[in-house]
Amino acid sequence: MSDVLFSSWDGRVLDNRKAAARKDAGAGVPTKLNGHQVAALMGWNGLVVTDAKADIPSLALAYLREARKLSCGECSVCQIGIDKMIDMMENMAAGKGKKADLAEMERVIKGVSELSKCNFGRASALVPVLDAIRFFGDEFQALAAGRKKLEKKSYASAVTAPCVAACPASLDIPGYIELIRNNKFVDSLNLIRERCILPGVIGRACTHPCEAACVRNDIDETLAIRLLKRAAADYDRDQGGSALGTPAKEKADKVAVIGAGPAGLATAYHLRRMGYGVTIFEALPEGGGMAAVGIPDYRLPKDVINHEIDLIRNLGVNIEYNHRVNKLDLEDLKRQGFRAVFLGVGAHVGTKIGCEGEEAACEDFVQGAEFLRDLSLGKKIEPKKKVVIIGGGNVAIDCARSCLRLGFKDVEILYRRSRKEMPANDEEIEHALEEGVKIRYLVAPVCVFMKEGKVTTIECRKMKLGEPDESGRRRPIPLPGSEYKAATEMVIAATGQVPDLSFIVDKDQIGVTGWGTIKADPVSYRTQIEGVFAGGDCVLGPATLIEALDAGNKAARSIDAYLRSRKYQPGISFKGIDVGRQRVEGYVATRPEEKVKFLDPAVRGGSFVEVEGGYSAPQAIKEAERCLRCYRLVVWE
Amino acid sequence: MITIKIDGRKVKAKEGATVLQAAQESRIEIPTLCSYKDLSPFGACRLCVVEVKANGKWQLATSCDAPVKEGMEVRTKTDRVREGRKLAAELLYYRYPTTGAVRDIAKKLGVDVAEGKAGDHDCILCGLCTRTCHEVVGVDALTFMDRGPGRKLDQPKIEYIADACIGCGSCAFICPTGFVKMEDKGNQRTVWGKNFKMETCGVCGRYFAPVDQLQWISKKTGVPYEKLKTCTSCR
Repeated sequence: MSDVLFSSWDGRVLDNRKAAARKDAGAGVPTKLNGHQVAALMGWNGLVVTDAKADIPSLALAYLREARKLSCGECSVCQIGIDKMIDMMENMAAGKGKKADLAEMERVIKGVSELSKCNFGRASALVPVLDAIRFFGDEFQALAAGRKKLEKKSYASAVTAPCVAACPASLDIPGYIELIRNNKFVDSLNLIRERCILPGVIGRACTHPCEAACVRNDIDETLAIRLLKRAAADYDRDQGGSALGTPAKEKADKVAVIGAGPAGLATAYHLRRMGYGVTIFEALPEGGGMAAVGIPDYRLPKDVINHEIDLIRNLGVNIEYNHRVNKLDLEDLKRQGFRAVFLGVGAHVGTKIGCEGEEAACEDFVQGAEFLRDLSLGKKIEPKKKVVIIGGGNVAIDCARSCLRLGFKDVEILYRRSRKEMPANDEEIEHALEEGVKIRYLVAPVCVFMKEGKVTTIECRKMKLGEPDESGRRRPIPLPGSEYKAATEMVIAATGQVPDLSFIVDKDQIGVTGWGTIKADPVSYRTQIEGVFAGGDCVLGPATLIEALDAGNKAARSIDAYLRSRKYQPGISFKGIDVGRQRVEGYVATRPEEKVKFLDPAVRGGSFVEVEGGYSAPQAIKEAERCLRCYRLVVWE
Repeated sequence: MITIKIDGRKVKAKEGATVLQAAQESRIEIPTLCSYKDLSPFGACRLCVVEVKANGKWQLATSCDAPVKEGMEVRTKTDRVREGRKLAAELLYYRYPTTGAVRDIAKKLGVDVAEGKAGDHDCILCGLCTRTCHEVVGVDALTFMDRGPGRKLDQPKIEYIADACIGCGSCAFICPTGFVKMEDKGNQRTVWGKNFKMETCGVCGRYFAPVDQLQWISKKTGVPYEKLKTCTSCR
């Protein structure tokens, strides 16, 4: 049986108030938030009631007051309309209501929804209030007639947006875009930093799922959210770089972080801001993790990462470089005064591709992540005539584009599925092709032949696509008899990475998954060992920078709760609710995205100069003006 | 040139023009408080709404920020347009009942405006001053204060950044309600509460521009300060 008494979610009205048995509301109707049942909820897309005792006019007034906080006031109808609604409801509650009030409220709501400038005013601000008035009119009439008093209750509320919900770290994207629009680049950057402590890095190398979720895709094209973040970061750096605030009052407790990648840096930054003493142990001579040694300079210049790490160090985070933790010795860490440990060691070891010749130690048959790391740390790599790269992810593309820049004449990628299944970013693939990388689809390696320790030939087999596998992508099936040999001097295998957990002696104690990653709670980031937390690629397997930052942001809060013996309170999760949908009307004029310049493909070879340009400040402001500010609000009891 | 239809009439418009501009060129009157010909559209007052046919449906759209498109159909005189404009004016009047400029336009658009005190000059957040300062003057001394989740500002307002201001007075010139006050008294100009020393014209001897503004122009253009000390009438 359904628990829904009434729902107008997404405009589908289900009224069980007089029904003998409650009909099911169907999927996507929010009756629970973070696993807790709600009695009544008002949100951007409707009203949901499960408890007959819920006071809808009180909820509506609470909703209006929260909406008032989100309304920017930059157009004359939304905020004033909300104010007028609040005034009318307060009047009604004070016994001064009129019979005509409800009709007047409906008129204001419809007008504001039609006339507002942004999507918040057009839908989220008042749509559910209209549902309340329409379907719970008796309660409002009773209020207007003085027969009913408003309950004095406190309601919970949360805010999201399609882009925010799509962002693994839930950045306040409309917020920082609005600050750019108002020419407040540094304020914008500080808002970004609350959840993304590597803004220049993420502004360049993020996979930006937010942009796929952008409502503007339905109108013209997405906001360039990633580039706007980069604009805020670059603007600040050009002005000399602002500091990261000051830490709270010093706390006596110390935390050890293993790995100075995005997850470790985010954890360290937030704990330091809370006043903890933090030391990061980093095996490599530089910080940034995969951002530094996994993404080549032409996509993400080193000085950008180093600047952002310097700011974190200036805050008082101690980073010990060239300090590989060979053995996780908790007793020793305790003796050094560390009360908690965060493991953010990443996933830096290439996985086997399962082809003959792989086991032989050969300098010309290398792992993608290793190749990029060596290159990044300054190893001299002599260009050869031909290199074959195996894999279809971003690491494969990064290897290929790096090889071209190193002077390799013939650079070929082999991928066992087709372009459609390729996990690398479309933009990256386009750039690679534009620069002269060749990609062969539906081909997998069988054997790599070597002579006198040098790669000479690769044997490959053609594939066809079968039924989708558990990843949802169509499974490649070998075509017997399609084998062919091709000469090559180098092979780079870039088919994935796993964490190097050799430093953990007792793997059963901490818990390791079948994927070779550390078992950690996805909400609290706790491992099975008390006081040890883990996040980022070493838990998720090779994932994105922004997911690693998210892990660090949350792990820091969880570690803080642990150290203070408090219960960790995770944020509100909108999982299972379609935040993309909204009942919105009105005309939005099309306006194309502001474009940035790219380095001419003809001059990219032989140079690791950054390929993508950034926005100038006026350009960034113009792009920011395209934001529809699709804040989604929910208020519930 | 692009041809669009306004109220059934064929109207020619320049590529990149807005519906508002196309209408104004054809002497079709559309009310507005926040648009100005030399500034980019902002869509704050919502008074300029018209109906635009999109996806086969007539939809309300602000004409100031809607670019013309070949074959576009626009209506400016329907009941829906009139009601929309009236509600926008009504809400402005609800917030600023004693501001003359608001009262005038509200009355014109059919709002029942009560007799009474009309001498106030509230800021209606039209954004004309911020856009002038950013786009025309180029100093960014005026911006909107930001509101949103986690930000504490209760009432939106314009932030004045005194250090950036050169005292040119463009904001006072463009302000539709008289909220931005500027006073010239002898060798001193006061705007947004900040005092500026005025320069005298080398020819006629009158005070004509703030020293800060001339210094800023000199720095920006490379023209020596002394050469700028002639007022527009004497140039």
